[in-house]
Amino acid sequence: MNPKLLTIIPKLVKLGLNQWWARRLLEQYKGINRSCQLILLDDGDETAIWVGIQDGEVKAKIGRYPATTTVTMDVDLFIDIVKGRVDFREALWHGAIQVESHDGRPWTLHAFLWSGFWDLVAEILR
Amino acid sequence: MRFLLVMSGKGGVGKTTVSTNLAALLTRKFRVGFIDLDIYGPNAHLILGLPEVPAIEQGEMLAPPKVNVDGREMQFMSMAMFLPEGVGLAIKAEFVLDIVKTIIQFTRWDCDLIVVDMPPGSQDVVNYTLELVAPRAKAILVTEPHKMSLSDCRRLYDILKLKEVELSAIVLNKYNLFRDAPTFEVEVSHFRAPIVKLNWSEELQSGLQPDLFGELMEVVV
Repeated sequence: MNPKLLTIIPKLVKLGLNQWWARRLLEQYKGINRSCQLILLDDGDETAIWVGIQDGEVKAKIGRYPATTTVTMDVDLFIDIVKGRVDFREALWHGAIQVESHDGRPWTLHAFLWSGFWDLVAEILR
Repeated sequence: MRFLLVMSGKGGVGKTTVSTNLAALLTRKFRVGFIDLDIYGPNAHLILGLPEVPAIEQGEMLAPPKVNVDGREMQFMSMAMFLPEGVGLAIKAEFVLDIVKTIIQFTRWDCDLIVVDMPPGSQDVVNYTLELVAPRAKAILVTEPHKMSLSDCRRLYDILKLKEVELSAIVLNKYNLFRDAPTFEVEVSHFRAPIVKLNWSEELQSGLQPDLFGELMEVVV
């Protein structure tokens, strides 16, 4: 894992401990199995994180696994988004984030849903 | 479900004013959806407002958020919900068509008809949208009645014929402001669609005035 990501661990812990967020997320994704392969790039180096919601449970693991979407961005950008310095939607529509769909639906549908997800994250971490 | 495409050859001729007011009036009789398909420069939300609840996933599709218009609910999709204020869209043209596909085909619309505020001209988004909805669509052509816009109207009319989309009305907007409006009217009468004249008025600048669009609704529905 890229050592730069260590700087955002407190933010991720804060997110993980937020019960309201977890409840809202699970409510929104009730009955939905969805997964995302996050690829974070840094000068030829790559950190792959898989995040999924399956049967009402949020799971995350390091590495590449089959997913419904792949979201690729620079590791520094990811850190800036988590720290609230950059708006996810702005980075997305400026072409700094690539979203790929692997389930036959348009990638922009996934992008719209991710926008809502990150709005929620930003609200909690603010 | 039917589509009512509000189109124009040029930008800034009153398409959004016509589409939002017509949609508001139609909610009195039908369950109406509204799409602002000006992906690069959405502004129907400036008149209709933005939904309080964002678009969420519903059975593999998007559930369209709702706005309250003229006291009634209307389903509404616009790029303005996903593009922050002041941020420009800098993605490839093919990706823009993907957005159109998501909004039209992957949104769970639950209404009788959808009013679409189209982008101006005959660019890719217009052609692609016509391909997606042509068998279920009718068009309204909005124009200002002066000779500079006639050529654009003819081109757009040609595309509608090509895609076999019925032109259900031509709106001559700000009719009272143009000296050569009657000449223009004769020219567009060749399009064989009802002509609705709409005069510029102070009232229309202050917000939704659906009652001013009764004649248009009679013609298109």
